[in-house]
Amino acid sequence: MIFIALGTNLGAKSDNLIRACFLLEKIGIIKQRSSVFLTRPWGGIEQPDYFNCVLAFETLLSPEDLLTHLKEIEAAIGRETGERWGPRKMDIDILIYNDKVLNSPNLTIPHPFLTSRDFYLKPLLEIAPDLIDPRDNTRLEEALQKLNEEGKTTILKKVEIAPWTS
Amino acid sequence: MDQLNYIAVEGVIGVGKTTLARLLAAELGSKLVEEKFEENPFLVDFYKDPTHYALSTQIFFLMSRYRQLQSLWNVDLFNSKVVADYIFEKDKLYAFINLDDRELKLYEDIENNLRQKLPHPTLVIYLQAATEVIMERISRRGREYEHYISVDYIEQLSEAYNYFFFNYTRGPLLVVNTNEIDYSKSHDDFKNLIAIISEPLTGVQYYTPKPELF
Repeated sequence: MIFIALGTNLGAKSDNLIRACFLLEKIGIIKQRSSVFLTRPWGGIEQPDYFNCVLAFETLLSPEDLLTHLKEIEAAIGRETGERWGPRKMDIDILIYNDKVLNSPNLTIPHPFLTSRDFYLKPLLEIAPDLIDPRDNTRLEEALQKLNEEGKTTILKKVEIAPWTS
Repeated sequence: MDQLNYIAVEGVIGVGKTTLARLLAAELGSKLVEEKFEENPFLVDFYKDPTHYALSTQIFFLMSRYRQLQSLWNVDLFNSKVVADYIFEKDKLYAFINLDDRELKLYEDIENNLRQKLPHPTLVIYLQAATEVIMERISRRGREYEHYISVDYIEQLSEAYNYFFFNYTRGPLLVVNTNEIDYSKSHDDFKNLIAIISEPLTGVQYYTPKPELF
């Protein structure tokens, strides 16, 4: 199974997620979706909070071709900016591609930050709790536990019912 | 209840739910359940003064929706098909926007109790569209009370729907991108939709009828 992460922090965030799904279903099949998590932005730059989630995805595209299409989808959603509606933003990352381990100049699989970002691991483990890191055959569950123990967490909460409720 | 073919069409006000529900009911020979919408005596006041009239408007809708869907149990469950232009949960989406915390607690208590007594749709079709597209459709159909709807309200509602259906797992769901299509005008688009829902669907499918370039 392929797992990809969606992240968006500008514009109508739920609309961005659904637009991404419409476009993704043109290049494959979405098998499962995780819950959506509200997440503090990563990297210390001042910007709005993110919606993050993970999809289980099936496609016949190779990792490189998939990446190319994901970049196009990101660009397509980012482009949809009318004056009234403000900027949009969508990040799409390949986290896991079956049990492939790949290190090319353009693409690293599994995602290089897979085990250091709880906003990847938490939703990923929600839909695939027993997932193994193909690089060293460790359980990804352990990586998330480690982040939690070290306090390296960015997730504020799982978003419930409506995006603005607390 | 499994044998009852019960399709529900959902989407933000103005997106084209009722149009599609009517077409589907005619095509499939189904009983049509339309939301009794214009009969809410609080609605015009609500659009003018939301804070004051929110709870009465919500409870009125909740009970009206409940009674209508409750009547589905009287349909011949094994031989009939039903198409509805709403799902019961929609009421809660509006409640979260419109009510304050105390009102919401009361409302949720009632809603929970009622929901458990209703049949579940065997397929939900969520008609999705960008907020700007929805605004244009609303202004085009020109219902009197809808003139009071603000862009911000539709924007918020639209996000609530998107969010709700992005997380919807209660049964098969077809999300249709309607930015480029109007089922009342294009019979081909409608035929394509019928073909899609004729196939068994599990989980969620995101469907864009027109090829959108990206």
